[in-house]
Amino acid sequence: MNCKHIKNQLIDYIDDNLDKETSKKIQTHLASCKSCSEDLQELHNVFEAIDDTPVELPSKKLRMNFEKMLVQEKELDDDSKVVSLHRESKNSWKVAMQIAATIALVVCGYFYGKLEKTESFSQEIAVLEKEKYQMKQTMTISLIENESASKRLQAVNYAEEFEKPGNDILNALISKMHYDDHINVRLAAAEALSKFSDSEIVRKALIHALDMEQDSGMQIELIQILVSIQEKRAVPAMEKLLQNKETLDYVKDQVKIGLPSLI
Amino acid sequence: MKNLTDEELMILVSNGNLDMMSVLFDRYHIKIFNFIQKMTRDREISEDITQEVFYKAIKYRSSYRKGKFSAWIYTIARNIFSDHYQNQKNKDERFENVAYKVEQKEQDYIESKEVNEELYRALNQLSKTDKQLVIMNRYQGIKYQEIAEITGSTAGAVKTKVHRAIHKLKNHYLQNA
Repeated sequence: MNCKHIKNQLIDYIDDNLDKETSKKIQTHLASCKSCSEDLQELHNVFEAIDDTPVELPSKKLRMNFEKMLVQEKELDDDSKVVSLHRESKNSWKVAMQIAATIALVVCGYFYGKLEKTESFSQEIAVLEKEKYQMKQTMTISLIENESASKRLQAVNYAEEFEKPGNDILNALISKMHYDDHINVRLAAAEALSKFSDSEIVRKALIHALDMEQDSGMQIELIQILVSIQEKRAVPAMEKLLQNKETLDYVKDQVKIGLPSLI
Repeated sequence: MKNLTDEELMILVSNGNLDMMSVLFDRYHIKIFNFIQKMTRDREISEDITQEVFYKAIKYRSSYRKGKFSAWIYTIARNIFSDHYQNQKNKDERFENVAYKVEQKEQDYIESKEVNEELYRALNQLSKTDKQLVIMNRYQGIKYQEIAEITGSTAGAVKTKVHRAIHKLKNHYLQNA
């Protein structure tokens, strides 16, 4: 270690802040180095002078002022406590009101929301229902014109599901009953129309169908329908069937069974 | 209450038990007073500042955060001192008065203690920061680590600075002698 290094550590050496090994090294160096040992002595002198400096005592005024200040602060603290208590009691009312208002608001909000929701919900549903109904109608009508007999049959079955079908649907069903090439479709259409016998067009159509229908199965179906809806205007058409030589026997039998209940 | 640590007492104070501050006052007011007195060499100002230190300690008791109490109170003392120092600097007229006062005091010291006067002069030749470090470390025996807490530095940096300041002080002291 050189002198500069030693000098840098002299304060720690005096303060006994060094490990034994370093301390010993410095000690050996100091014994042989005049400059460093002089430095050490000077530091000792300064530290001695510092340590000799008497502790100054403040006047009694300082303590008196402190005590006075402490009393004032305690009073202030108490005052603020009193004030804060007072405030708290006021606040507790306020807080209670605030809580009540919050709860009321939430409850109102809930019910309003619920009301609003049901209203708008049912409105929405209504719109959807209407749309669905219109779509079904459109679909039924377009399906009813389909080339495939089974599709037409399906459409007729759909049409049957309408509680109050529009004239579009009725006309489509009537035209199927009258003119469809496939007997099953005509039968299904007739059956479907029987449910809407409240409608005058349907009644007339059924009578007309019986008048011109050639298929025996269809004739029987129409006779049964017309009898069950008590359509007296169908009587001439039935009598015509009885007199027609081409009419099959069991169709005639059916007419004979039904006719008395109409007359 | 007398055997509680500074920190325990200060926690009581910050929880509203203001009476505990008088125990801390007993323990610290002479140290703080001497610290400021060494810096200003004015007893009156030192008493005022010491008074303010404890006033602030009570006022800002809730800002005390479980650290070392001595570091906290010294931090307050340093802040008030530097505020005071700035104010003095800003008021030229008053600054001159203080300078005059200091001279007068120096005269008093020469009469009473010659050794101290040489040392005081050497101390006054140091920068304000060096002076503070020497006073805290050598006069008041505050450890490097704690000075680091007070000044917002590290123990290593504080040690280096203190050592340098002591060497400077020593040189001034020798020159004056």
